[in-house]
Amino acid sequence: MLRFLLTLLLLALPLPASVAAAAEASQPADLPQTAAPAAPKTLDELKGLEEKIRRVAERVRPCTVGVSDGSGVVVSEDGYVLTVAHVAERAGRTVRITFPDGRRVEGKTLGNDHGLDAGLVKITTKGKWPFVELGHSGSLKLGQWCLAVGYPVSFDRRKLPPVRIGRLLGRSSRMLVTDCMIMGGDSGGPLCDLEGKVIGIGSRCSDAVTTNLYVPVDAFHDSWDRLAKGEDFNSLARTVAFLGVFPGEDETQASIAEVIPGSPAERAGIKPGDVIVKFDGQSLKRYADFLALLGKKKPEDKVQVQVRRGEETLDLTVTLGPREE
Amino acid sequence: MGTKFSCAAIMAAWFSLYLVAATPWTDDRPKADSEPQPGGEGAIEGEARWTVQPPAPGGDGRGDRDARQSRRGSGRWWWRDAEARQRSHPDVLAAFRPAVLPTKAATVRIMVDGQPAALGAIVEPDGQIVSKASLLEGKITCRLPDGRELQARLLGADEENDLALLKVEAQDLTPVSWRPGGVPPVGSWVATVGQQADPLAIGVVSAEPRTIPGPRRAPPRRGVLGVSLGQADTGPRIEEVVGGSAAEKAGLKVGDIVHGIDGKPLTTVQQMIEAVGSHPPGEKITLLIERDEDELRLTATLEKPQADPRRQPAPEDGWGGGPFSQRRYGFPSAMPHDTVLRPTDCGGPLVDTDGKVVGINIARALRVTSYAIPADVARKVVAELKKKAPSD
Repeated sequence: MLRFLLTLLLLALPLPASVAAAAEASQPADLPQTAAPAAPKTLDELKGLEEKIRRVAERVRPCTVGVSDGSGVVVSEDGYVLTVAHVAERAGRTVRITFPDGRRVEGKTLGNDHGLDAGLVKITTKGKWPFVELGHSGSLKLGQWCLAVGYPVSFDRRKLPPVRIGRLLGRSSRMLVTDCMIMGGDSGGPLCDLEGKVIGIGSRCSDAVTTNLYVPVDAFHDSWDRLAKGEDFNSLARTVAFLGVFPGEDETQASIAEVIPGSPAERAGIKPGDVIVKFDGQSLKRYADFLALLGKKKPEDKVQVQVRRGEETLDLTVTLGPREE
Repeated sequence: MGTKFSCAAIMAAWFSLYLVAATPWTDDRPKADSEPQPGGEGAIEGEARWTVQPPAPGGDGRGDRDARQSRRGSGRWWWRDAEARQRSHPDVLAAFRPAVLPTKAATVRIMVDGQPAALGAIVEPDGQIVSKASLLEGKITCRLPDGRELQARLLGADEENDLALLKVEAQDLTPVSWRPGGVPPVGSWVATVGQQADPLAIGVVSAEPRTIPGPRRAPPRRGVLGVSLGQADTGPRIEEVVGGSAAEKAGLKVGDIVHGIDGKPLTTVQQMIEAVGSHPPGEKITLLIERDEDELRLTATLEKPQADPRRQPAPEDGWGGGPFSQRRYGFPSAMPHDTVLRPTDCGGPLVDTDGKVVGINIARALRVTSYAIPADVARKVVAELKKKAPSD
């Protein structure tokens, strides 16, 4: 069974009470969840930790760059920059890289793993760049301390970026969860261990301040060649068929409330108020039936769609699309 | 702006998107019959996008009702025992006790109209206390570290830094011990001190102090009457009375024509809006009204405005982590730290691991950031306020 990553909304609510119960019901973590190291117990231990945090901050901040509207981290002297796919978007784009000392240089997006949200960028301006070493995410221990750096919305990109402290709360081969808080603009910024090595790249968060998700750095190690070659891969948007309609309120039929301008639906002549009665030769009743049938198609497929419009029944031919970039 | 979606449920979730979390679907989830066949394992392309800019909703999805149903079926695999690993676990907070102890004796809890509103830092043994000015509208009392609750009066306020100097009648209090030589380096621990042994919250210094642009004033607090108005020939006419509003409690009725407020005549809707809005919530106004050719005088106690859901959030909002301080912009110098503070825990001291006060917490600002007015700035402001304070 495919384990699908699903976007969920938490609706600004605090953690739902059902979380604990839900956690009991599922255990798909695919890596050993190694026990947490003991938390600091004394002020001296805190001060020892503090020394390391300061050193890592000092080391990593100058190497953390602005990439377009997001962030990134330089990981080689010749200017390879790790970021996330949702910042890089696709291979071959020219992006602006902003260093915290105010230098603005050009970069080119290389490959992206759209599935894990890993993106690679190369600085194209000639130069030697300050960089952070890559670590490995496979051997991380739950509870270990880590540091996030990036450029949250409203922070000036020409100044050293703010750091955030936290601990590794969970991990799988697909993501790291920490309470190092990130928000809009931090996407692509590094998560570092206390050795100052990059272990993850900031990707997503929920309303809860303890839910901050990072791309594990191993996603870059594992696919480095494909990323460096400029390959865009694991993109569902290109493989999922798209019609471009919104459903109506009436659940008992596949009624269309809205048609997205420029979508395959509009090009085929589907109009708001239409009710889909047949899709690809199969009769259907509910909107869900339509979605199930749509899910079996691929972009560029030509499909016969029968719609009821008032008293009329129309047969239309739709060329399904992928979602637009 | 691309709208990319990887499955119907993702699209559905975006219809009412506020914030999103990525959670693996588990095998015990209700299987939506609408789930399209994915073309690759676990792609999250669409979902991830919002971290840079919130996505616009796309099509083909279903209502958010379905998204909520899906949520119920999904677990957070990482959540098991995760609390034990959090940075703010009680064991971690407890390690800060020796650093918090000296300043705990110099921290007051400030109540406004009987409600906890802020913290404050004792700056003189004779009962002078610094706190966050914009939180102190109303009747102020301070709970001292020894448990005494005393009335406080405002000696002065510095609007630029949003700091105020208060005075309680007390002697021999323990003042805070300021950190000498500027703020600690980035990455240093900071603890927010309350009136308990453990810090209220902890974090690290995120960045060097900087100017925070933006409006200094919190949005003015306008009293609300709770009516809609239309323009009649002789004055504003009440078209609607909101249930439970100040207007309803005062006895205003649809059809009433308002001729004056507090003895001042008025003839237009605009005049009436201005007259009402010039009073803060809690104040009484007397309306002169015409009803069925009678003249009546009604007194209304104005209420607080409701948050306007149509207000456009700033780009830095909408990432969770709130509630935030009302006044959180427009500081000449503020030190960002990553402590998650309650807005009512602002105004008090922030200490380093040596137990010295590095600044006064001034705002819960962003999901990732709170601000403190650095010690050197706070001390200067306090000195100025002392100079200007009326002598007893």
